[in-house]
Amino acid sequence: MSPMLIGLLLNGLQETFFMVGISAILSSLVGIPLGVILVVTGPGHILENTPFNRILGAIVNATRSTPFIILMIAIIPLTRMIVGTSIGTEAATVPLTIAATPFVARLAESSLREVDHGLIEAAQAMGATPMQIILKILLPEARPGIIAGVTIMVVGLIGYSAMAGAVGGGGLGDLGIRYGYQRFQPDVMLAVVVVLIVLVQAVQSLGDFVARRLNKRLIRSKS
Amino acid sequence: MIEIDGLVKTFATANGTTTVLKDVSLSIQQGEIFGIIGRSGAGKSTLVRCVNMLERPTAGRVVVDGREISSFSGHALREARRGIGMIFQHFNLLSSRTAYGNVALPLELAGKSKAEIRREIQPLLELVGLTDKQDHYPAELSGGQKQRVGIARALASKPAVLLCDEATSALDPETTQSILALLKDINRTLGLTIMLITHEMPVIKEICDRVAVLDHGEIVEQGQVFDVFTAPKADVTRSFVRDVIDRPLPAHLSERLQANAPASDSNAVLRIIFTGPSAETPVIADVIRHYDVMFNILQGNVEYIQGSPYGNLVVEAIGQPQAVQNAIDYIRSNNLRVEVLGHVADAHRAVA
Repeated sequence: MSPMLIGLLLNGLQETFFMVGISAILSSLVGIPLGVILVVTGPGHILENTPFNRILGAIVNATRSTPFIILMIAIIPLTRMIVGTSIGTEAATVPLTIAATPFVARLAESSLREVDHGLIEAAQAMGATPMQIILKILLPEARPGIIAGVTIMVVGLIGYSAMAGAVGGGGLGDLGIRYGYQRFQPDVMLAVVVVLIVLVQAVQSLGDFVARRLNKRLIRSKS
Repeated sequence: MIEIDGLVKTFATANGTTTVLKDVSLSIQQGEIFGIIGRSGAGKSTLVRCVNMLERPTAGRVVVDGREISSFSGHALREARRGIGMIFQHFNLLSSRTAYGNVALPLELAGKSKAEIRREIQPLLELVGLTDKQDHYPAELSGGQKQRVGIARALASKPAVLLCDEATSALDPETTQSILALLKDINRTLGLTIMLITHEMPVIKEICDRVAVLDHGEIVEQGQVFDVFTAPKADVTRSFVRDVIDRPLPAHLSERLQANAPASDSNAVLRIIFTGPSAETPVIADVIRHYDVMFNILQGNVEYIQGSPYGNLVVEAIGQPQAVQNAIDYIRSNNLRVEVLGHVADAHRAVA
């Protein structure tokens, strides 16, 4: 492998890390609370508010059903407003975050919904406030599932970031398309794909490990 | 300690509304263990959940420890709930917290410091006998141990009242005994008022002072456990009591039993009930000695309810009808209850 190729790969990897990292953090910060709101305002839950829940659910679904490539182009004005440009790695984080947030919200929602209603009642019987129920019951109990959801989201973001690369976002996907496809260098394409496979494997394994460690529902053999 | 007055609870269903509780009134005294028994669907779970407003009554008042909790909401309700502990059939422990962490939860919710929590939890874990299991997660504990964690958690906020929602229904009989013994111990040492709901009569027999029988959302009978057991009035109570004491006659015997055919070659089958002090006097031996009657024992047992003996003996009385009648009168004069269940053909004389 030529030093130039290694340099390109490292540079692409760095850009991918940047895009995925920033958007993963931002979408988790917005998406997990959104998931909590979707659950607690649902029917029969601690802060039931059906009209609000329906509207929020519809917005989340609308964002999720817009194809990423269309979303990316459609929000160019917003991207320009936030980062000052619509081209480049920083600019790519805006559509990535917006696409990933409702995804995280739905994944977090399904984990939070799994929390046994009996636990919520027990906390209510102890005199817990709705906020205490969210922070001390719902989130800790759903944590393994939320971590698994965030892992799925990060893997998805790695794929989306390659698409963002195609429209000037940089990163590994951009590298693969520019060198591998447009300049007929299949070895670069192959190297990019191998690096992406390794990256996704590493992310998935780390996520699985953390989720397993946090799940106390199964008896682990004590050593 | 707990006053329930005219409680009504209806639920909206697809086909209109269902009334689960119809005008229920109860008064539970300070320091007593009050049991509520009913078949599934009788409304007992709804009733206990109305005491801490997990279920809002449709009408009626609930007063706990002098405070009308049914009129509370928001902050006042949460404050009142801290004075009411509750344990559940399925324990409802957080899987993500250790035994210690679960007991700490109500104290954290009340805003206590880590040091205060540590100080208060140790005696609780000792009380329920789980000091050595404090770092175990619920998945690593047995059902009985989980319920002990549940009890320690319920006691952490130093409640005046403990509500038990089918607390032993998911446990095996042996574990049930140990949990009931623990509840009774807590009741005595802490003076805690306990309201307990169950569908198991042995639970009532074991620890309750008074009992109310709930059927189709109404209280059909209530009183001291011993009285309800030994002289049940409502049909549903009788069927509950039968499970524990008045065991049904064996099939081969009840098939032979004829209601009223006092033919010369038949013998009366009597059920003799001993209660209280009469269970300890040798009345049967006296009868056999003084009257020309023999007893063939068909079935018998003595139960202890709240420490008082309750005996139940089914016998076939062999002898002349007049002698048998005299014997029955003698037994009755000794304050024992005698019930003529029927007559059976005399197997002995038929053989002879």
